[in-house]
Amino acid sequence: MIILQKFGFKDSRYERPQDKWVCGHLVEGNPCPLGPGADGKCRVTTVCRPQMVDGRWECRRSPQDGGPCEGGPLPDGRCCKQLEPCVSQSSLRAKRNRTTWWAAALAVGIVALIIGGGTADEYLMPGPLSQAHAVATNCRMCHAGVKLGNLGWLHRFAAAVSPVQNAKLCTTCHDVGKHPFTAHTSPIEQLRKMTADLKAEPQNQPPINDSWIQKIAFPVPNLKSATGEPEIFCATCHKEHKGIFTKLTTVSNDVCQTCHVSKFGTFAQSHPQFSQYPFMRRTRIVFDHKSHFGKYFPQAVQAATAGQVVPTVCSDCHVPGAGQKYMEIRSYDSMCSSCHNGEISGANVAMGPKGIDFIAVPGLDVATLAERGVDIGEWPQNSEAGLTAFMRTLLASQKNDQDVVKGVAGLDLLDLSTASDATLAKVKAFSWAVKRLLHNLESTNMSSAMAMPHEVAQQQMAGLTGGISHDVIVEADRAWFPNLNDDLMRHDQGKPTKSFVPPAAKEKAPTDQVNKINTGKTTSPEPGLTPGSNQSILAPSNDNGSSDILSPGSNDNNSAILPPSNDNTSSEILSPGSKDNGSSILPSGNDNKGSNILSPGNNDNSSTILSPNSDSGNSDILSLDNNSSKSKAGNLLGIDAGKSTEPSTTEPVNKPFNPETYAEYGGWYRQDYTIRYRPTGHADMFLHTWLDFAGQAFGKDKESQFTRIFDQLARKDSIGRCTKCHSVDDNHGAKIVNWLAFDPTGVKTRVTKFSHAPHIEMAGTKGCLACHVLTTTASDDYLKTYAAGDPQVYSQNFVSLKKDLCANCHTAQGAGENCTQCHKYHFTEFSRPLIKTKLP
Amino acid sequence: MAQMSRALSKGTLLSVVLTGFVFILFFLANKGYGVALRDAKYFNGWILASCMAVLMFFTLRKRMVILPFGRVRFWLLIHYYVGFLTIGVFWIHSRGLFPDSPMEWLLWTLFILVAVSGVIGVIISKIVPHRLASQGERVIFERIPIFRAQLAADAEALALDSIGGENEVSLAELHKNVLAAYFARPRNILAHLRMSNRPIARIRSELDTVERYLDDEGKVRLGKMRDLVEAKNNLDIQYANAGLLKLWLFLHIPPTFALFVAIIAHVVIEYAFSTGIP
Repeated sequence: MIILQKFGFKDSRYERPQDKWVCGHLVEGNPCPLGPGADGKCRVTTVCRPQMVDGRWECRRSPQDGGPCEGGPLPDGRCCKQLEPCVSQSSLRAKRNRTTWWAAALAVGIVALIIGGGTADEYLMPGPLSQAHAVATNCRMCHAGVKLGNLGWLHRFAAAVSPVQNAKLCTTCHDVGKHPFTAHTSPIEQLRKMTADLKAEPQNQPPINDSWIQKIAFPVPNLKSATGEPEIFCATCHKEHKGIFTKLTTVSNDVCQTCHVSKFGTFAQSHPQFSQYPFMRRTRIVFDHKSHFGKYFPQAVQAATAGQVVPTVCSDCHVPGAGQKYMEIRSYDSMCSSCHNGEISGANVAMGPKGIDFIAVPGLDVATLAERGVDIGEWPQNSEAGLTAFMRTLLASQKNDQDVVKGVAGLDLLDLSTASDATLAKVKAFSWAVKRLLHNLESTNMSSAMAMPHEVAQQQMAGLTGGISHDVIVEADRAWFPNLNDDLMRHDQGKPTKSFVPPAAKEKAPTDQVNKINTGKTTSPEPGLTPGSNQSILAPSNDNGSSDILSPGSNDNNSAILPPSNDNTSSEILSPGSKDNGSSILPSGNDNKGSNILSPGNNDNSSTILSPNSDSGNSDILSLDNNSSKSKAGNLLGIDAGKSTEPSTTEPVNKPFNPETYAEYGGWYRQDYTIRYRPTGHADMFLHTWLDFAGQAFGKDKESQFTRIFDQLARKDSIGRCTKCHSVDDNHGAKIVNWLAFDPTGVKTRVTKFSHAPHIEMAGTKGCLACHVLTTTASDDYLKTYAAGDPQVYSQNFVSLKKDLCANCHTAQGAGENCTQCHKYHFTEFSRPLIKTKLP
Repeated sequence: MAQMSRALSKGTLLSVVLTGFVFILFFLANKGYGVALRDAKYFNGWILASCMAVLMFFTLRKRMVILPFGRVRFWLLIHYYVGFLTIGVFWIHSRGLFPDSPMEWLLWTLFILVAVSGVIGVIISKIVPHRLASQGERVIFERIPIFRAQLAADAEALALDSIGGENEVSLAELHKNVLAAYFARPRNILAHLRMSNRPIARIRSELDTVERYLDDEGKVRLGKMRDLVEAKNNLDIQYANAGLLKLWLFLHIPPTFALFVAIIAHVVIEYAFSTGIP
C-alpha cells in the first residue's frame, strides 16, 4: 500500500483552507509553496531565495520541495529555477462565501420585485381571501394605515393605528349593532344581567374548568375602550387569508371558553344540563295540548259535525317555517275556526247579548227625579241599561273637571227614592253629561267626541271607531232623545226643558194630555216619550205659544213637532228622504222603508215615531186603539197606537225584527237602549284595536280611564273571547295581548340557535314525539298560569329537553360538539352589507 | 468502544428526549397563546426567529475562536437539536400547509432548502467520516490534487519503463488505453459515494487480464501499478466523500443568508398589515 501523505514540518505543507486564494498550479498538482497574496495576485518568482554563506550563494529550497538543487544559485545570487506564475483560483471557502452573497442578493431582488411590483397587493397577501370577501380588491378596505400605491403599506409604520381602527373597517360593511366591540356585540348591561340571572338560578353550579388547554392559557389582551370597558375585535375570531373556501365563522371551542368562567370539556360530560329549554316563557297562544288531545278532539270526532276539522297529526297545526328552522303554526282559519268561530261571533252564546255594549242610555229613576223636581229633560223611562265601560271612558274624557261617573258610582240609579238632593244633583249632572256625550257623538266626529288623550294614528282610530255609521248614532238619539238639541240648549241657557214639569205645577196641571184621548190607562211611553213630561205634540211653548203640530217655521226651534233644521232644509213631517238626517221627524234613511212616517211595515221597532209595538204593524198616525192595553206607543198624538182598527191590506204580518240577528255577521246594531257591536269574526279589528289601545293605558295617568274598557273586553267570557286564546302579558305596567304565536322574525336577540331542518329526518318513526313529550302534570296547571300576567311564570305542556337527548348524536366524532353549532356569538341579528345605491 | 457507543446512544437519546420535551412545551404554549384571543402566529413566528438566531450562534462561535464560549462540538450539538426543533416550530408556524403567495413561497422554499440540507448534513456528518476513516489512507482534501498528480506521474513513468523490454507493451497499452484517463482526474465519484467497488473491480480485472502476458519483471511492474491504482482509488474515495462534506455546505449556508433577508422582509410586512391585537 502506498502511503501518500507524510506529516512533519519538513514533509508536510501547511494548508490554509480559510485563505481566499489558492495557487493556480494546484489543479496540476504542483502548487507553489508561497501561494497567492490576499489580493489574489501570484507572488511566485523563483523556487528559492539564495543566501550568501561564506562568500558563496547557497540554494535555500525547502526540504519539502526537494531540498537544495544541484545547480545552485547563479553567480549573481539569483535562483536558477524560475517558477512559472499562475492565475490564482478562489478557494473553496471563498467560492462558498461568494455564493452566499449572490444568494442573499437574489433574495433581495426577489423581495424587491414582490414588494415593488405592479401587483404588490396580490403578491404580499399571505393567502387568498375567502369567497365572502372577494369584493375586497385592495388592502385599504380592511387594513387601516395602508395607503394607495405599491409601497402604501409602509405608511403603516408612520401612522399610529389602533386595533379599533382596523375593526371599524369591518363594521363599515357589517352592521353588528351599536356595540360592535363588546363581548357578544351586546350591551354590557345586558351581559351583566344575564350573568346575574345565571348566578341566581337555583341549579347554577360553581365554575368548573374541564378544559386542559384553558389551564395553560395566556392572559387575554387587556384592550379597553375609552370608557374603560373591555373590547374584543373582529379579527380575534375571524381569520382571513386562509383560502377561498374558508369559513370565517369557524371558531374553536377553546377560544369561545376563554372569556367564560366555566370552561367545559366535552359536551356530553361537561356541558351544564339544559334548564327549561326550549321554553323561555309561556306560550303566547293559550292552547292546552293535553286537554285538546284528551278531550276536545275526541269529542269533535265523535260529534262529527259537518265542516269541523279535527287535527290528527302534529303537522296539521305545526309546519316548518322559513328554512325549516322553527316550527310555525298554521293560520287560525285553517286550524281553529271550525270549532271556535261560533263563540267568537257569538253564535254559540246561549244567554245575554251577542254584541259588546258600546253606548247605552243608563237606566234612571225618572219618576223620582221628576217628583223631586230634577230637570233632566227627556229620558227613556224603560231603560234599565247599565253604564258601559266605553261610556264611562268617554264621559271621563269629556273636557270638564267633573267626574260625573264617580259622582254616581255606587248608586242604584233605578231607585233614587231615598237619595238626597245632593245625590240627585249628581245624578242630574250625570244625565246631562250623557246627553251631551250623545249629542257630541252625533254632531261632531267620533275622534273629537272620544277625546283621545294623545294623537292616534288614522289606522288605529279607524279600528277604535269600528266604522260606526253616523246614522247609528242619529237613530239612537232620535229614538232615545227626540228633543235632545232642545233639551241641551235649554239646559245651557238655564231654562227648564220642555218636558220638565215642576212638582208644584204638576199638581195643578192636568194629567198627561196624552191620556185625554186615551181610554184612561196610563200609557207607557215608548222611547222618545216619557210620562210626566210634556212631550205632547201639543206641548205648550214657552216663547210664542205655538203648539200646532202642523205649525212649521216656529221661532222656537223645538216647539214644533218638526225638529229644527240645521241647514234650513225641509223639515216637513211628511218629507221623506230629507237630506238633514237629524232634522226630520222621519227616521234616518238607513232603511228605505223607514223614511216615511206613514210607511207601514217598518221592521225597526224604534225607528219611527209610530211605535210598531203593535203586532199589526199599523203605524198610522191617526190610528186609535181603544182596546189595546199593551200598546206602549207614544205616538204623535199621544194616542195609544195599538192595534189598528183597520186591517193591513198590503203587507203580510212580519216577524219581530231582531237587530242582533240581523248583525250576525258583525257590525253595529241598536237593541233596546244600547248600541252594540258584534264581532265580524276572528281578528276583528275593533276588538283588536281597543285591546291594544286600552292595554297600553295601564300605568299611565292620562290614559288610565281606558283601562276599564280593557277589563271589559279581556274577560274570558267577554264577547269575542279574545283573551281566551290570546294571552295577556304584563309589560312594565301595560297589558299586552299576544295576538300572534311565536314569530321567528321577531327573534332579534338569542343566545342559542336551533334549526329543525337537520333534525327532522333524525326523528324516525317517533316523529315529533322523539323530542317533544307531553308532561304528566294536570291540565289545570297550564291554564292557571294565564290568570296572572307574568309570562315567565308558566306550566308547560311538554317536557323540557335534556342535554342527554342531544348528546346522543352531538359528539366530537358524530354530529359535532362545537360551541358555535348551537350558540350564537352575535346575539343580535347580523345584517349583510347593503350598498346604498344612489338613484341615477 | 461499545461503552462509548452506549454512552453516545444514551446521550443522543437524552438529547432527543429533551428536544422533544422542549417542542411539546412550545406546542402547549402556542396553544395557550392562541386560545387567549391572541394571534398565535406572532408568538410562534418569533419563537421560530429565535431558534434561527440560536442556530447562527454556531457559525459565530466557529469564527470567534478566542472568546470562551464553550467548545465548538457543544455548539454543534446545539445546532443539531435546535435545528430539529426549528423544523417543528416552522411546521406549526406554517400550519402544515403549502404556501399560497410569492412571498410565502420564497420563505418556504428557502427554509426547506436550509432544513433539508441541514438534515442531510447531519446524516453525512455521521456517515462520511467513518467511511473515510475505514477506507484506506486519510488525506487532507486540499492535498488531493497534489497526490493525484504524483500518482499519475508515477504511473506514467512505470508504463514508460515497461516499454523498454521486449514483448512487454501490454502494460503500456493498458496505461494508454485505460489507466492514463483513470489517473488524470477524479473518477467514479458517484460510485464512491455509494461505496461501490464496481469501478475498481473493473480496473483490477483489466490489470489481471494483462498479467498473463508479462514476465516476472513485468509482473513486478504490474504489482507496482496495482498499488498505484489502489492508491488512486483511495484518493478518489477521499475526494468524493470529503468533497461531499464540503459541497453540502453550498446548499446549506447560502440559502440560510437568503432566508434571513426574506425573514426581515416578512416581519416588516406582517407588522405592516397586523390587526394590532397583541
